[in-house]
Amino acid sequence: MENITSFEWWAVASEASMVAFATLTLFACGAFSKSFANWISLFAIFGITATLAIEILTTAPTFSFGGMLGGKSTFGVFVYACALLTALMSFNYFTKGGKHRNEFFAVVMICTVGLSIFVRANNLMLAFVALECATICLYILTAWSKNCGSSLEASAKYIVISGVSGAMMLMGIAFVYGASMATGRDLLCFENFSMGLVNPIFIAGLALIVGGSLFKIASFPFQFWSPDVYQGAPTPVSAFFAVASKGAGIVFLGKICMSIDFASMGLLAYQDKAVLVMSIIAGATIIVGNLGGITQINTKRLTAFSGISNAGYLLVLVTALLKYRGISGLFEPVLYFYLASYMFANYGIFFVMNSFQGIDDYDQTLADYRGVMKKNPIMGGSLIVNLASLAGIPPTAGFFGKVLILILAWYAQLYWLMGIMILGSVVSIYYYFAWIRASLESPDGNERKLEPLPFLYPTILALAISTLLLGVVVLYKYGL
Amino acid sequence: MEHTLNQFLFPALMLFATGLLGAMFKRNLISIFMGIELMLCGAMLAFVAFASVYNNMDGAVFAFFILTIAAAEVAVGLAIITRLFKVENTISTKELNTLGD
Repeated sequence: MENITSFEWWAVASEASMVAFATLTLFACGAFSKSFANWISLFAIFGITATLAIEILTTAPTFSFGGMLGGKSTFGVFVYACALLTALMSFNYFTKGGKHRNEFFAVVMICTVGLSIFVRANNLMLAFVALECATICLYILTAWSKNCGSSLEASAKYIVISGVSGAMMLMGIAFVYGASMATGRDLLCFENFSMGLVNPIFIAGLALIVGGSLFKIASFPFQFWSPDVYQGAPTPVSAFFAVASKGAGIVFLGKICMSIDFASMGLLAYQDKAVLVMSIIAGATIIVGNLGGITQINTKRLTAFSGISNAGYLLVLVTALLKYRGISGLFEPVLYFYLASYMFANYGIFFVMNSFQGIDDYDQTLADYRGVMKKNPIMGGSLIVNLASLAGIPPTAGFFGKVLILILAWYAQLYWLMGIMILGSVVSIYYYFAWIRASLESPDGNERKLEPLPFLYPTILALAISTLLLGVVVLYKYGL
Repeated sequence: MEHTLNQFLFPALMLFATGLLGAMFKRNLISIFMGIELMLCGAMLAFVAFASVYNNMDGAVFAFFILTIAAAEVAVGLAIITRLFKVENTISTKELNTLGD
């Protein structure tokens, strides 16, 4: 490990600003009376927006803090945008009777910092500490409706699953540490991963770490927790789970695959085995997610199954990178394009889900959506556009995202995996269209009432328009 | 006295496996939680073993980080389990079945 001579604090400007704003928000919650609550919320939203601006405007060196921290990627912008959308969405949740709005903002802010450092970390130990920081915040956020059994149950479930996967990951890191001590090379750093591939202990450790991150992104065979947790958690938190937490896991897996170069070590036999395992995991994730979605009428569980199948599509991308390193230049743009389209579509849907009455909405079903289009065209229109994007209907962003993944899978010659992905998308159209059909039917008076907050309409419209235009604009800009 | 690496790694793996089995097969949330803590202890022991055998302090220092993380996890986790018991009157995973189809 290099000696730490100087701390480059500018490298963590956005994270530091987020922590500062979160601490000030928490402090203000205790220091000022209830009548200032709205001002504190405004301050927290301003803090998240300012951090987003700092993240976009500042640059960071490729390595800082003695090589512990890597450079910036688009993920920072992605995760802070998720925090902003979650905070905006939660206004609705707290109007319905949730308590402690400003503390909620503070915990969301700390959680995004954890995820951001987790993805930027260049050292496995730092990555683990940052991941646990985010995970503990997610336990708290899931249990936010503390009088509601379903929320607490979901949190308890997530604690058990996440604790086991975290401990697995930690054991993996211990193995990698042991291997790096035995070989005298710092294998805890990502750029040295290829050198460790000759060491069986290192491979065992890496397998445990990858297994731990498969838990986090809810892929087969570790997908069973996600429908329950999404169903029980407060809706803004479910959205955060579906987008930010899953995105972090996938970017982390992509980073691991990016730094493993089998060819440079002459280990092509290992590569074939790794590609086979990853293909089976990706294919099974797509199949399990889509088959689970077909019979589902509970909308929160349906979004969880949709999330599982999307994790499968992203794993196809990761597998393609593992098989054919020629696409490493295209990998990150495609990954972030897909994640952006997934973020717009999912948050668009969750905004509508969260507008239904009842704080305790774990039993929301497709039948509640009857007549949404007639009752509220803004909500209904946004819902339909975003569902079409998840189903992959052109010209929405989701369609272009899937096509880009398929093109990269074609380069990597993963033909049968492409087949599974196309079949999975076709099956998924069935359940997304059941949802669209419900929203177009005429209401029969038995549904839950919509209680939208009018000041969130611009956000909802912006999400729908981004979903519609993102793909076309990006393709036009790059002249494809 | 000379210690070999395996003298430490074997108990570490045993701790880890015991914890994993406990977390998988126990029905009481507190017992599951103790299983998770045992898994973390196993990983910690492995870190300390590597650190002491190879004379490198990184692993020993990281053990403190793991202790802190485990403490934070327990603080939050026990609070949620206590609350769950107040609301649902049970902490057995068999009887908790609000979620599902």
